[in-house]
Amino acid sequence: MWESRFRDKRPKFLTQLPTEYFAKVLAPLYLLFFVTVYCLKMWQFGNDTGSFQLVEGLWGATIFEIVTMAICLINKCRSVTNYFRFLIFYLAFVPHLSLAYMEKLLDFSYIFAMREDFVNHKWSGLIALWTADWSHYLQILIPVLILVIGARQMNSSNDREHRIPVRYFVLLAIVAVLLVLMIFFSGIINLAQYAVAVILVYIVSDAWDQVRDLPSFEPVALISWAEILMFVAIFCKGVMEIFER
Amino acid sequence: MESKEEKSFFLTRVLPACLIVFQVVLIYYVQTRVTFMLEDFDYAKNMKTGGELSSLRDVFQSQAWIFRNAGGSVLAGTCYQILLLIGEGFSNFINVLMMLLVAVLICYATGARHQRLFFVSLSLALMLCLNTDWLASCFWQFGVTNYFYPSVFLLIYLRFFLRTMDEYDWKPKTYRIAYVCAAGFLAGWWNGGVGIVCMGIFLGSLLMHRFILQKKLPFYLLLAGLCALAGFVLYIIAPGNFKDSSVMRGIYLNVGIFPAVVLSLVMIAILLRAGGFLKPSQILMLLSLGGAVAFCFLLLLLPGVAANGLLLATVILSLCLFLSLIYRMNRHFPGHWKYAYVLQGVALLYSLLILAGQSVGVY
Repeated sequence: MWESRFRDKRPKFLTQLPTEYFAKVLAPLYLLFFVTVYCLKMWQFGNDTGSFQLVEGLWGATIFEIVTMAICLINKCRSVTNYFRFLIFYLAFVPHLSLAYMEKLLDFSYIFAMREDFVNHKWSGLIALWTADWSHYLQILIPVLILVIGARQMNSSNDREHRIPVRYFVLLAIVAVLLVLMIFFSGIINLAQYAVAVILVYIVSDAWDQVRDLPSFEPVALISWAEILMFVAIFCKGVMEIFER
Repeated sequence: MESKEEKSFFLTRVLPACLIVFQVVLIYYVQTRVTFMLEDFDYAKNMKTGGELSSLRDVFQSQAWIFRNAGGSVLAGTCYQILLLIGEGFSNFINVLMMLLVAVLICYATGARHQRLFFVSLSLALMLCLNTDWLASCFWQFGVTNYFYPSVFLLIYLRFFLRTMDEYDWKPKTYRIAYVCAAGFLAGWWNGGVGIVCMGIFLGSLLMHRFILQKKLPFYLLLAGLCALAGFVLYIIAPGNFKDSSVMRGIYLNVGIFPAVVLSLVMIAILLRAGGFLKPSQILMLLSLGGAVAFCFLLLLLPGVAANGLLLATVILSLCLFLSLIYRMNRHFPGHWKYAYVLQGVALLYSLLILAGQSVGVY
């Protein structure tokens, strides 16, 4: 009784999506945020090498764009908003690699710890600098993954189409292999952590797109507000990460 | 059938109880490894005379000095110095007891009527997992007394407001009103940050009654809110707050509130997407959380001024909301329980990693 009384008295803005407000205010703000983040990424890529360099920054932004677009295309990205959602997850949960470090990754002698410098621990400081904290996965990325996969299975029956997709299991197996490799080949720790984070974010993003198809009883506008709130919080987390690094 | 019941008994009673015992033992072990440090030694003296702390008289003299020179945290200071006076062994025991009490109170604040042991166990693990400064706020004696202890009063106060929201015909008895008023007063006076969160809960409740529930605010909520305000005013008006040596002029906790806040908001979005709806108490928690996060940012803009404890109070508030949503989800969709257990496993693994790291001296 109490709940139905309460549900009848909800303010209008929670039940009617103000599309005009979205189009004129929120969408430009949303895009502005992304422009800001791209700038921050460029600054960060440049800054990794010691000082700000525009060319490095542009290269970094290009690589960032290629990687994210490629993953979205693999994910059969249906719209620009899908891509935006993925970008928000990516920025918040994936540790960033510097361009300088990515160049080093092309050197396999370095990756597989065959280089003398590495054996003499010359590079250990650099590796420590770029190694994402393990706690990052356990503290937030894996819990988000569990919650979103759990939600995806919420209304599922035993139908084949509602089971957890096989590709998730394959990707999680790759994650497990990467984690084992990280233990034995400390030289690849940065690349492996980056790959683990990208894979987990891909699954979160893909599962979230399917959660959006669940039948819901609340007004769409209210649910959209809740999602916007969630994405704003995740976005703020991503921006704070960039500032902290 | 019998085996199914046995399995259910194991999953809902035996396993969570074992997890609680395991975590309590682990936390106690880490407590014994984290010895008194930094401010613990400064406060182990009579602040007025500079001599060794040896009696309650020294404690009261120190608190009078703190009130005049270092801020309004007199209540926290008194408790802190008494614990320093008694010694490490006893304070370790009290700290663990307080952590367990906070976990139980979080479970009550979620409104869980089933699987309570599981929720106590999960909140115990999440308290360490989602608190980025767990060492300073859960193990360091200065931090525990100043930031963690007031969480007990905050949770008693919060639970009362939440229950009033959800149970339409609930008429609290006088003794209950009295202890909630006392809890609000102590929370407000103990720590400025916790006081701000208490004000936020009161304001959120006021707004919800006025604009959404469209009824008058019950007098007992008004009374509890005013008591919290009185405590907060007592904290703020201390002459020591306006001096450079004030305890308010230092940031002890970092800004890592995001994991807890993000997880709560993810759960809200999931619950609504999956066909559930928010209870009035959950909306109140969301409003209070929004206010607390806004205040965290506001205080970051004022250099050198930090209401210590606000960040931990924000995390506690997020935990209550998160677990309340998990409970509601699992009531609606029983199949979802297994994911809650997996989450518990991850939280425990993370707690183990950081606590084991602490005990071998990695952190």
